[in-house]
Amino acid sequence: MSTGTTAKGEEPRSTAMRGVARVTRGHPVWSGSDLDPGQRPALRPMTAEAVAREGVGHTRQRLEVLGRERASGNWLPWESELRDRGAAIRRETLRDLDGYLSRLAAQLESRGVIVHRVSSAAQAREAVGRIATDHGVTLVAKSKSMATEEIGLTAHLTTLGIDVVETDLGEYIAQVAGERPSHIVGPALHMSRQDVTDLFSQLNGDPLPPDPDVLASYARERLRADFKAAQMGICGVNFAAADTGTLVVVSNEGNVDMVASQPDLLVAVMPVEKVIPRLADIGTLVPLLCTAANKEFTTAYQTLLSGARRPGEIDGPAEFHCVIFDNGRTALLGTPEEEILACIRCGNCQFSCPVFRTLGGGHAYGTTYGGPVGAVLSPLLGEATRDRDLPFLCSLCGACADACPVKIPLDDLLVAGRATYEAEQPRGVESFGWTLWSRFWSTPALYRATRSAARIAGRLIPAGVLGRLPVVRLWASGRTVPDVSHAGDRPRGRSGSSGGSPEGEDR
Amino acid sequence: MSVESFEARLRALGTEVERVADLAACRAVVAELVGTSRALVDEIPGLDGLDLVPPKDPWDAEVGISEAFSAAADAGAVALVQAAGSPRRTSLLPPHHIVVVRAGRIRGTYQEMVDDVAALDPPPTGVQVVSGASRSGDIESAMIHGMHGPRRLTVVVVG
Repeated sequence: MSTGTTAKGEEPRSTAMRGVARVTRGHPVWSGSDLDPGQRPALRPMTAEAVAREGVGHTRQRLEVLGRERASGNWLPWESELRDRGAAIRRETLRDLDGYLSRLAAQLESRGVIVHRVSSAAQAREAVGRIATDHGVTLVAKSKSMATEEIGLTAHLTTLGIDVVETDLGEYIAQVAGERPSHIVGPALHMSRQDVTDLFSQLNGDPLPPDPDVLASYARERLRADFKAAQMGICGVNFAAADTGTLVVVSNEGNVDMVASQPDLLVAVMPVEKVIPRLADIGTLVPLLCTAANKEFTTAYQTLLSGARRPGEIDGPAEFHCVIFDNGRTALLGTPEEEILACIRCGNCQFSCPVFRTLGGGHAYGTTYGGPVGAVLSPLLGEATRDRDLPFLCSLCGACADACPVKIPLDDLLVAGRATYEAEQPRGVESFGWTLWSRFWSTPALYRATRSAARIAGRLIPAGVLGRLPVVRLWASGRTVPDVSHAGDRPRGRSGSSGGSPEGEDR
Repeated sequence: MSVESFEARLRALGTEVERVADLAACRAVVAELVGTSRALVDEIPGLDGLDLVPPKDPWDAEVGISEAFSAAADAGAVALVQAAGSPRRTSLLPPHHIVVVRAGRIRGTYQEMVDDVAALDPPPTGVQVVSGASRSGDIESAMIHGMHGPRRLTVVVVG
């Protein structure tokens, strides 16, 4: 047991994080919570490392079981009705997002909530940081929120000398491991029971048994001390009702209620698209979200927050802030990509995606959001154009679109994302080659000439050598060079033309 | 009809159900359930006069007692309005939570319950919808009960 005497500085203020210096972190750089979003490794080495990682096969099997349980895309009749209604509600606000946001902000303010509407991720995290430092906060209890991951909130608060503790069990596991959440609703799905046992045993300094109940109790006792001691709570938002100014958060553990009611100060963080027209709409959206995310009709808890503590009340936040950020979203309105703003973050597309499962979760996307939704959304977020190559982490099977509870055409958006990427590439040798190819294949005589040339080349040069020639090598990397000695012959009983499809890719 | 389906749904979620005829019987059942445990009790009209032991520190309470404002049979859910006299800690801090539900407040569907809540003007500072005890599946999907909120949930249906 390497308890080590080299623990950095004093013990953390968070009880739950005590002993974290004892944890040896062996995860790859791209799964770390400290990964600079602009500095992720290139897609190819990152994904190659992910599929070769020890234990990835077990993670894939678990994800496949979860995917099968959800039977993504097989919506029962009542689920289909819910899906139709939910899809319509989510588009309603997109038609007048600014109007709904203004109504929401006015309602929130009328109930004593201090609203911060900001543009960038940096402005959002700085707004939260200012609230914390203004109040002399040293310990924050946080519930799970992808939005706070997106804006890099925990890292920012840490640089301000504030301890932040994740209180959702899966997020806590990921935080102790120093990793980002690997799935939207299951942050530690990539870890096995034994992984969690090893992690908590290191944290504890003494071995713990591989029993989920014992491990959860261990986390519970530690986190309970933090719920009690935290001066500030931070929560995300699932739905924000414009008509009543009510913020709705779903959870199973009860930690959302803790962070939103026990500390005197609460900050709710949400991106603009979380707004919904009416509170009554959660009658559709909550069961839809829970069914898609977890195959349950509702979670154990839905927490509805409408303003700061009123006279006579003894708990709930005395001061309540809501940070609403954009980070590139409103620029999507009016484009085909605005569809992604209908997303309710259920994570069902991730379970349904064979690429996501093969990679053992979302880490190897190198971004906050992995899987189909991440491959569409990540390249569109922020001001910088980055992560544009993510749509290639896709087999174009279309399972994600079938699995989506709000009918986002994820497959179409992935294809569009690839086109955007290609259009932005400098026109090099490959592009010249395609221009030449289209010139030749548009004229019958020239087409026949290429066919003859291919046959001759195919007979004279062995396929192994052909694949190593200049230019051809570019095309042949990752593909098998076909036998072209009979190029252009009508296929007899064999499928496909010997020339391959133009993109060199099968659908 | 919806009372029976409400009860069935609750039981399927692992929630204990007691059915009593009136408030006097409800008081007896609650007193029996609580025993000598330290209890946090909300102001529940008609259920005053329970002789219970309050905890010195609310975090040490062993049982919490609240009344549902509305309930949904299809979800096995209860909606708790949090306000003066019914703080959020009651349903949250103790490991055992008892909810009193008047049969007349039980709706058939989750949507009807939500409509009840949405009709409140002004909206209460907090509403907690509860459907089963606190749980987590974050360690290899193994179901853990009583993660941060109550491990045990009892619903007493009155009427």
